[in-house]
Amino acid sequence: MNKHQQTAIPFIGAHQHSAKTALFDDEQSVSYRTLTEMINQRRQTWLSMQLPPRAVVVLTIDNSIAGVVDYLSALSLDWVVLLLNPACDDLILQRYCDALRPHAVIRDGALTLRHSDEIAVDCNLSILLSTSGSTGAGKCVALSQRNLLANAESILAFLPIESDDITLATMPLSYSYGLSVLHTHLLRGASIGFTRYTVFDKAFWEKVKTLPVHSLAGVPSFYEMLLRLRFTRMELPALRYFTQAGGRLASTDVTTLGEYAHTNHKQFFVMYGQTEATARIAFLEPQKVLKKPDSIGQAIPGGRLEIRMQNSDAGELYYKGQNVMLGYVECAEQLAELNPEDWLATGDLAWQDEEGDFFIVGRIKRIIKVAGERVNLDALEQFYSDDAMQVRCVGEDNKVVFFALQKHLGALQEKMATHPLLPARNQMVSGLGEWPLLSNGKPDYQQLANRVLGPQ
Amino acid sequence: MDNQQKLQQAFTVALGVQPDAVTDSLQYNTIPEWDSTAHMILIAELENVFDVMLDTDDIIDMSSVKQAKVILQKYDINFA
Repeated sequence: MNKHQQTAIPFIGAHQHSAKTALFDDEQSVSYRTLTEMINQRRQTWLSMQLPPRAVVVLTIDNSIAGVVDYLSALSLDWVVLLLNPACDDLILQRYCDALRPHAVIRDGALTLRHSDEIAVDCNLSILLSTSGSTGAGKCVALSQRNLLANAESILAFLPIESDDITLATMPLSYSYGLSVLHTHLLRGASIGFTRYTVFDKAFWEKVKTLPVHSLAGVPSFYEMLLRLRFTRMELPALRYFTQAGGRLASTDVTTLGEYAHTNHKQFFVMYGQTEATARIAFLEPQKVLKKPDSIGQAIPGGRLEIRMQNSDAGELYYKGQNVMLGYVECAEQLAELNPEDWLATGDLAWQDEEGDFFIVGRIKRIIKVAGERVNLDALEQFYSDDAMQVRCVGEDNKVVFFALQKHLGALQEKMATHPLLPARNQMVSGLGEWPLLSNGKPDYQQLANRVLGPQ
Repeated sequence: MDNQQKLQQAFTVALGVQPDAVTDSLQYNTIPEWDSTAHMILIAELENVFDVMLDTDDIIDMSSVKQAKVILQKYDINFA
């Protein structure tokens, strides 16, 4: 018998004999026992495919039962898995393949072998998550199975996830927040489902009412949609709590949702996190939401937050915990050895009130959110720039402005039309006679931003 | 501007499509421009332009340009 047959499957190991539903979609449901069998079968198939023991694979994971089977099979084989959004442009997939030299690409359960050469990989490395969503082939966050499990356990210590709970995965599994909802529900032995319907389909709300769904999770744009749909007038007696993370939701919206939760005896969790910390870093106690709608609360159980002052008002937020990543990876050589930092510099500016709750006031890093998805402005620039054309961009949430020299503007627009990374409504282009530069010769982003976004 | 023009403009602005693309048969989720985010922008635009507050069911049912007209008529917005 192969040794992998004996290995417990991450997250579901304790429930492997359970007849309870683990996963479901619009057509079928799968028990923990069946899921375990499906994974065992898949890894048997994959084991016969001549990959090295610690293979590096790219997994295009869609929100489906098959996607989870692929993912957990790869994890339980101790492979190193880069999770990509299926919406990813082929060019981006190709760039990851060039950079990381994966042994195989897995799509829809089909494994395509690329090569069988040994690649040295760090003994703790397990998954790689893109830092730029589907919008560029930026560097990846490297996480260990210990990171994944530690963060899931910590979340279970504060979110009221019960073993009989049912939820719907409304975020991509390639996104750390979406993945954490999967991990926590499986670890608890609860059910998580996938649906092709969106919140704008009646069938979605029928499912929420009849399954019934006990919790919802989403990024700010998700809650903006729910509010637009008069969520706060809906009768959803089974819904016990809902969580928001993935960027700042306007405090008026937080307050509206907090009041709805309060009136209807539900709990609303405003949370804060980063892929660099696996997913979750902090959460605000639900009973504080109405009093402090701008706050991210305090560190999750087992974690620590501190501010390193930059001026008298705010400083950079640092986080320490077992969920802090191993490091960043940009190319295959970097897979060999990772040196995790104790403290994660979040790139966010924050202050702390006298009760210990933290408030984010701005960002240091060039990362924004577009429709809830994280966008790395540097990765966008790299994607569209080439030897003949320099592209720069500035942005704020939901708005990116690309710059090129006037003579390259046509070429840039053509490239953006052929390889669109952002929705058209969230981007603009602008031509320049010459680049504004700082005295040290570096691009003056402040000046670019002032032109199109107003004074920062 | 009559109601038909207002409706067409609301769709053009919200979806970022050309005016001639806004025909009765245009349906939600059949073109990349009319996804769930655009739908939210569209609802906001329609509520603004016609000064109405749509119910959840009406927002969800608004799955085509034609259906939008039918629904808006419930709010006393008439199309010739």
